Amino acid sequence: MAAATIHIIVKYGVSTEEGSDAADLNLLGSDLGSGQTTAAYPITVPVAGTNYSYERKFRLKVENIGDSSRVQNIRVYSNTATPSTGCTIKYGQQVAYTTPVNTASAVATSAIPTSLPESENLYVGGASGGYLSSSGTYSDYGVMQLNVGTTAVSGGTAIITIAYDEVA
Amino acid sequence: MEGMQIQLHFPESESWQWVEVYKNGAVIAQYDEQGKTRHFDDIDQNELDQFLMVHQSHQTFTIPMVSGRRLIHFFRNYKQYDFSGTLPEELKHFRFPVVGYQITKNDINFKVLLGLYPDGYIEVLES
Repeated sequence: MAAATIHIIVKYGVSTEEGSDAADLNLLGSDLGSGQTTAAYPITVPVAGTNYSYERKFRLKVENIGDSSRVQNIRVYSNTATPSTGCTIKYGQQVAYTTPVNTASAVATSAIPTSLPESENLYVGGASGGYLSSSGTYSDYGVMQLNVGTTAVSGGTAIITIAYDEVA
Repeated sequence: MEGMQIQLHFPESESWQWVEVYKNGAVIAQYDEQGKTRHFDDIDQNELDQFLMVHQSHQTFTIPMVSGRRLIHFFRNYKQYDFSGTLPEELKHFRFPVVGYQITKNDINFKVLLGLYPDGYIEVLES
């Protein structure tokens, strides 16, 4: 059967949306898309308090529904919420896009789950139980932000997983 | 599956497929000769006697559709990204069928899910 083709689409700036699957899900000191050299856009370690990356916003796009009936049960998690000492990845979701900020996110407020969540944490249409059933449709936006504390150590990485179920 | 004769056609990208066995003896495979799939909603769960999952190697297991069991089948997908786009290609996307059932006892829903991997390995899934 022809599986559904799903792309993870990054959006940044006022309204710039990438046209193809994200090259990565980086967390930068500048509001840019995927595929950047991360070391070129650092987030400085604060003397006090917390510094923040720009929010990284992405959503699922059904490029081609193929032979599938629907795509549902979208879940986002990471292999770690602390990619390096003093740094925490926060996660949240929103229905309507807003320009990313590098102050404390009002959306990405919880530490990103570090294993497959039991229930959806990236909705379709603003509520759980939604699904995508045709080409050219989108999920809501997943939002991540890196919180950088005074003890932060440079480097580190994380693997972000986006899980979804495809019903024939 | 004893005594059952059916020709199975596996599309190139699929290692597993379902076979519907009905109470009236009808047997329907997921894929036809052209690789066209039946849809999950095509399955008449009220008349289903058994639901089989068959691997390309002919490894087979059966879910008897005893009263109250509600069938589950979907393809689980994992797409992975890092900060720098350096993940090996084989880690970027992984897809496999999941089969199981849900049953309600004393107003509590119980769900059984099995992940079916391309090499024939089967794993119980939490969710």
